[in-house]
Amino acid sequence: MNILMRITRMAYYYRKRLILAYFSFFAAIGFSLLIPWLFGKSIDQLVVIEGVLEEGGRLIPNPDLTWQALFVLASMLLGASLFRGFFDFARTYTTDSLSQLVSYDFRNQIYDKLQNVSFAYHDKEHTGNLMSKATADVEAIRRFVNMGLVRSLEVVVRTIAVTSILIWINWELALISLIFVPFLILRSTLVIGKLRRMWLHVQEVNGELVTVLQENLVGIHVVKAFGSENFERRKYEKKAQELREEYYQSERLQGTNSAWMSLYFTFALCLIVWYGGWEIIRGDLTPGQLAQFVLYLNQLTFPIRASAQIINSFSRAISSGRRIFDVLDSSSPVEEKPDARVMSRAEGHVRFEKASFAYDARSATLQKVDIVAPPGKVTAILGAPGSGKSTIVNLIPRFYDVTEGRVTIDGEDIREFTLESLRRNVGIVQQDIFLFDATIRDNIAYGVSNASEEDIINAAKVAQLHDQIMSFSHGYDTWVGERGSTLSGGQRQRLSIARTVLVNPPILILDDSTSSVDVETERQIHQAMVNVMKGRTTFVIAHRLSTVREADQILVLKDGQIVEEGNHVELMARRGIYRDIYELQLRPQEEVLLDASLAGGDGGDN
Amino acid sequence: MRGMGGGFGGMMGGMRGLQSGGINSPTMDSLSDENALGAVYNNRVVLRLISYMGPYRSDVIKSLIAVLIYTLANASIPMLILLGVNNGISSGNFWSMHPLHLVGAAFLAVTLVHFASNYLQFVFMARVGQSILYSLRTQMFSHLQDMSPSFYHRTATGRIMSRSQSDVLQLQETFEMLVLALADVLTLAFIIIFMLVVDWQLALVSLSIVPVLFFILAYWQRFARRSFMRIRRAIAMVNGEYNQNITGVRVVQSLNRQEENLRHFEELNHEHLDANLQASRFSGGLQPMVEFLIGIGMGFGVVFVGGLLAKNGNLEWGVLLAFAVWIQRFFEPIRHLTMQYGVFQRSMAAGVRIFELMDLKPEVNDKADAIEMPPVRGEVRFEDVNFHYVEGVEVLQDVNLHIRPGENVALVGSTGAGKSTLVTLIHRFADVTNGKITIDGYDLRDVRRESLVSQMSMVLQEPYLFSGNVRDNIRYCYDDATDEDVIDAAKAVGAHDFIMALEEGYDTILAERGVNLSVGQRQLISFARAIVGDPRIIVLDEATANIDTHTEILIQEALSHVLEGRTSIVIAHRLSTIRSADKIVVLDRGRIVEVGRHEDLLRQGGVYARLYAINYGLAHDNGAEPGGGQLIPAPADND
Repeated sequence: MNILMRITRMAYYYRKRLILAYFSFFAAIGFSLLIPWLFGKSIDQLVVIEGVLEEGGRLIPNPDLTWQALFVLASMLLGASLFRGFFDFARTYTTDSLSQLVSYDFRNQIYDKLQNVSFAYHDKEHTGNLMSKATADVEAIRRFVNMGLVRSLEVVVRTIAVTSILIWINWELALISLIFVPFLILRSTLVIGKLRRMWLHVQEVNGELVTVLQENLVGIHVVKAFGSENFERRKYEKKAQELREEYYQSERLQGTNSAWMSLYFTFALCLIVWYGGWEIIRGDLTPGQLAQFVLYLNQLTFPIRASAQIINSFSRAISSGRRIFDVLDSSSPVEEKPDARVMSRAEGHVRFEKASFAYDARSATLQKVDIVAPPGKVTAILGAPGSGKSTIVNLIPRFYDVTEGRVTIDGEDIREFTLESLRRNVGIVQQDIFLFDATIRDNIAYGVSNASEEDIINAAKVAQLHDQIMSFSHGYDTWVGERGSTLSGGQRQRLSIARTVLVNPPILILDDSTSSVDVETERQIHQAMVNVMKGRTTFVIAHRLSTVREADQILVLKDGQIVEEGNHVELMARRGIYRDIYELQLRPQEEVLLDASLAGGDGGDN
Repeated sequence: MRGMGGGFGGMMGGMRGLQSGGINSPTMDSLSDENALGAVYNNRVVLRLISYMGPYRSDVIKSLIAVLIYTLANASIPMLILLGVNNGISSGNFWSMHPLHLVGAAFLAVTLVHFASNYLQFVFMARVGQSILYSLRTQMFSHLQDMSPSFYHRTATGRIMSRSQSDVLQLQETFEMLVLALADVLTLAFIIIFMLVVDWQLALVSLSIVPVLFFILAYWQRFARRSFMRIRRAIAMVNGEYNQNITGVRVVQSLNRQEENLRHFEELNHEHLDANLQASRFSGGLQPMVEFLIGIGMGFGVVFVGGLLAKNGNLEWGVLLAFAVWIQRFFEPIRHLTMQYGVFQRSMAAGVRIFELMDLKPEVNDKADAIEMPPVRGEVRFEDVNFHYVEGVEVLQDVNLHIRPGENVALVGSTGAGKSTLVTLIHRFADVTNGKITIDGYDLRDVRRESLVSQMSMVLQEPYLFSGNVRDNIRYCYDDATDEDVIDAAKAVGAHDFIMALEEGYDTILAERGVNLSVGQRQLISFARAIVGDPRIIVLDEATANIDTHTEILIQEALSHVLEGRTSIVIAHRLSTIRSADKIVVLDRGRIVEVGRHEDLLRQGGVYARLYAINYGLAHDNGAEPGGGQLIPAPADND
């Protein structure tokens, strides 16, 4: 219920529309109530009862009725219909626009939340799941605003109005025909809860099915390589079967509910004709009143039928609302201080002071790490997978926050600054390179929206990518990303470097994973990296020892702690882990050298 | 929904063999545009959809019968009112009012029939609808499994996702719509028949407004269609932007792009809002007109004309009441039908898109008389193999190669030389354009692909893991593999220790694409997966790339065990790794230019020697280690 209150509050922001919607549906109901009344009046004008039917009286046409009177009644009916139509339109439009505005707001909020929430959140959430929140769940909320917020009230008002009129006309007949309404409401209430639970489950299973599909499509090469098509088919069929069953059950319940509703309506009509007929015969009811009963009851058809949908919209809104508010309420572990300052261009003095970090409470990923990185120097980080290399560099732009200790830039705790200004000072070339669905130019200029053409080209040159871009038929206008062309791993890496160069940050992080390229590309990337590191405080997660050797300091990590640090020469002298790694990998290289000299002249330079 | 799963194209980029190096021509998509909208009714789509009902024929028939009974009962209710009024009430004397009880009882019976048929209509409809949805889904998925990798390379994942998710859902809705539309049409027909039978004059007068209504609707649809297309385009943009921002969130945050992005998104979102408001004005604008027409029908048709007839004693008042109810019930299905216009149009478009995808012919197909591949020994032969994706752009030319069982072959060549293409052909990712490839003497095209491929294995450049736990990922499709087999495989590749160090060992659940593991760890798991089925032929496509030095060492140690006793073909740029190969095959622009052992090739002073020298030269330039730092120790046996 709390969830529905929150959605309502979002709608309340547009209260003018909401009030207009309420006003128009009140007016529409008013005019629509006139129609059966006028019709009943017409019947009573047409037919009169001579005596009492029970005692041998009879129904005869009213001899006093003039065609003018009929014309007036007919015109009034037409007028009531026209006004009713107009106010219905007003109601539809205001409600639609209200629900669209609310979903518009929700979309913006979710979008903004998701792009600002820290990495820790995205590490946990599947893209497909987040997408379904932004699409299906927002749609459920839109329906709720439309159906639940306005329509449900309309249903209630109309039901009460019609009931009162019926009681006023003939309380006995009203009682008989409406006696089942409370049971109907009770039944619906029970169905609400059940449908909600079922719907949640359907959503869950559907999500699982989408995951199977998506993973299959993205990993189709694995499927092909293993010839596991049939295995995948079985996996998918099993989930699809489960979904079919769940869907069916929830649809059946919905159908049952709807069938019960119309049963009530038909049954009530039956009672009206049967018992109402008897009342006319006894003289307690006029033919016109019977007609009014039938038509008023007819007016209850739509609300009663719609209420099944409305009930459904409530239960969906509760489950969808919960999923959406989960996103909107998720507190980002990385928050800006209220009094955060703007960091001007940093000199680049980075320090870790007893910095610790844990992804969850159970195990620490980094333990009391101390690092001093002077301006313009290169720090290489080495270590086994899971030793905490990526964690260290992710702490600098505050993608995650330290759990203990602190990280400082130019002597000040980075948590004192706004995220935006901090990140402008820290450039990062990530391991997973993501290209946006845009041109190469836009991708390079992603971080600097007002970059000049010259700057962009320069950045591409620094990243050793310019020549290749120029070789594409559309040059910088070549479209890349999901719907565009595919760049090779090496090209993506360099584009990512160009993107960072353009921002020109004093502190640079290179999460280096470029070993999947051939020799020529390798050299271009290496050159790009050498270019870009000039004059910046650089942290490199290195997989290539050439970079490591050139570094001003090398940190060797093990289980979240720095076990060795120093430059290449110092560490070699130490005969520790670094030396082990180095030795293990150097020896074959020396053999290569030896072989190459055997191979003769054309090797030296090129 | 396009763009679902966007940004997952990384895998595609990894298979460089399937693209001719570097950049490709912009999406040569074989699928039509998502936004194309066709007619409201497409006979081919409807017929084809109906064919999906075949297996559920009896349920379909039951649901149609239920619909028929339901609509008839529904339309007959005013008739019962009429009978009650005319025969029950008007006849006077209480003791002669047996007819009222008779009508009342009949009414009650119809009520029960109405209820039962209504309930059954829902049940059968849901059952058939869900069954069709299931069939469509699984057939679509099954078909997708048959498509070759080059199709996936050409086609963005998001587009396939949207076809197999939202379009399929749309078609299921279509089925329910068809049934409901049928119910609407039947209701209209029954009402018209009843009205004509009861009083044809009054019926004609009251129904005279119907042509006007249809005229208005036809006019209105032109606008509705346009505004509907606008909504569709707008929502596609909104969702695409959403998807991109979620998948690219790490870049967005590191480059401080949030404000700019939000501004851009708000624009797209606002366009979507405007499009919807416009649509709402159109659809809402219909309301006053319909109400006006009902007013004419009720006011001037029933009350005025009917009243005049009744006044002259030509009509019972019960007829007026029944007509009033009928007219109200008459407009309901019409309104309902027109409201479904958009759904219909969307459904037809979805149908066209789905069937278009389903009709794509898989490029690699098992022959009808394909035989089961007997246990593989591991002899691979390329005989005059040519291969191209696009006519005239040969990726492989005149390739002749003989690999003996158990031989360890290294493929060498620059980017775009055709290395990846060559190895994927062994797995029949595509069929050769000319010549043939045989394994143990069997032409690949003569055996069932699955029976062959299940005896081979491949480790791709970028490790790809499925969600689920570590154990299931290693076992993957080898259902027969026991837990011990899984552990043995993990031990053989040196993954066991790190797996045991995970929180729940082999039961640790992997996050999306295994992001909670490092690339190296993921690669180790994919290694284990590759050998758990004990393949006779193993292909490593730069499988040792992307791994940190520490894991690299682990893998290199494991590799000799993995390759032992198996035919192996390794693509690697690291000459130190290649040196130990039994045979080095040098590819250049799609041709095999040299074959031999390391020392022999160096002595020849050809392409291999040059590549080798460049590798050395690079290192020399930088004053660092040779190999540009690709410091990979040779396999253990070389030490």
